[in-house]
Amino acid sequence: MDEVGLPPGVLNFVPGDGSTIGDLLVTHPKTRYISFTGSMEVGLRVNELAARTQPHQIWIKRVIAEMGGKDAIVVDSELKDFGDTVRGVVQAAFGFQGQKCSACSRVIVDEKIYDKFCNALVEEAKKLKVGDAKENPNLGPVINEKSKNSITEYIRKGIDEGGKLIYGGKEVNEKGYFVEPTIIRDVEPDATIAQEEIFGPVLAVIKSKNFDNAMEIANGTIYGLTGAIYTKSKKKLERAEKEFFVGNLYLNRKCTGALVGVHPFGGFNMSGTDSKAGGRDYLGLFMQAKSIAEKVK
Amino acid sequence: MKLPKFTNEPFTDFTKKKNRADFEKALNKVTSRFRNEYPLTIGGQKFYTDAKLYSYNPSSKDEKLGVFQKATAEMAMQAIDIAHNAFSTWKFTPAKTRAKFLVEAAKKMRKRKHEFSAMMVYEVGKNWAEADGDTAEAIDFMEFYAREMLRYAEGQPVVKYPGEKNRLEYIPLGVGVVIPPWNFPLAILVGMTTASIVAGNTVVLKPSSDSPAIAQMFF
Repeated sequence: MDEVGLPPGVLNFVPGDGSTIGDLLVTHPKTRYISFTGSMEVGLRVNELAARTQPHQIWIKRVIAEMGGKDAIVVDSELKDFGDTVRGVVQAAFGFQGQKCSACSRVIVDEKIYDKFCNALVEEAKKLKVGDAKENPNLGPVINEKSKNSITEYIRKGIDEGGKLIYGGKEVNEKGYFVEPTIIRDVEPDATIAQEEIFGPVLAVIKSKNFDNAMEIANGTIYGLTGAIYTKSKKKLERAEKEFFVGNLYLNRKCTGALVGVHPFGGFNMSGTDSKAGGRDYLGLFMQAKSIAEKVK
Repeated sequence: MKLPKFTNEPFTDFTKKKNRADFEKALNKVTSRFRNEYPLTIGGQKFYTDAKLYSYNPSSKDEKLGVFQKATAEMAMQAIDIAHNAFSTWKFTPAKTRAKFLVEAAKKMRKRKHEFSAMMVYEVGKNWAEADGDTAEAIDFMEFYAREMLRYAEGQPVVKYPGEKNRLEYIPLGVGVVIPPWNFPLAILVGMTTASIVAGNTVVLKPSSDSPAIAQMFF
């Protein structure tokens, strides 16, 4: 941006510790709005701080927040293409090590095909290589040590709470922060790993009794960012359009990979303010409207 | 100003030998940045602080990717004040002029696309396709919001009323604090920042401490 010659002061680059400067930036009386993308925990804190009016502040601060997700893919018993569904789930769960807000961290599978689907997920995951990102593997490292520890803690908790580890689960290669793509089956819909955002390569497989039950499980979260459903039933697709409460819903395709202008992106509930990035409403969030009337006669 | 219709930036086809070779070259090229120390910038002025922020490669945790500054509390406060002052003139810059900055920046990023992607491979551990997608999205955001600003600049149609000339126009808000994440350390940072700027606001950008190097490349 420097090279294009923006006037000084328009864009200021201020790296630093969130704990030292984050609150100060948000609470400054001259701050007009905060555009935040990150965890729910920090997002809610930003929102709370921004809501507190400071001395000399002359506006209500606006908060534009994109927070987490606990995104689900619903897999129906009647599928268009079994293999395509398996690949879609694996890509959405493990692309960039599951560290996307849109990543599939829950797959809800109809009991009629449950065992077969679990086995197929494992076979597909076996193809994935983990390694130094420079070598262009399927999965690189997770972002840092804290994250690695948190992910492995969630894996442990998932198993403790009754889930069965069917693939991965271990750290690999001491050189960096590598965690295997991990699949845990028989996870209860209200288990910790089915409710909290892990932000790592961990997929919880949940069994559903039927489509109603699948929708109920899918919506049984505080988040509402992305979701997908795979089925060949037109009726079920129509029902998902109405009932699946997510900002970005995908039918018969994976729930990651939103394109600017094509899939305006943003979620409901604790996923944020539904500020649809890459959509026509977005710039309006950064502006206010002025109505001007002139008497001419 | 009339811009051609928006189309998404194509992804790089890494099954092609030439593209792979170009990407390898970029991976080598950006390593020269790792030795550098980068200032923080407020109001066009560069500052160095006592407290430093280091970026590391999560694939190879002892590899340092650059040295950055940690803003002090005073600097953070000052940054808001300076952005506030800059707003008094930036807000009157015509929408077209602001949009041009974005188109220009998109053009420059497109030219050095692989370098941006390569930095993300090192700094946040994206594989090539994920990094390439991130850079493409950043370019998309700039091209898209530039066009969007031109559309918003036309205002909103209002109902005709006898004896009056009426219109509704969009004006910016003021100083925005932009706090992007490390997981789309280029795309989301660029989207949030350039949407702010093109709309006529001024920005204090606090990049994630896990990805200051790619943020610096954009800045």
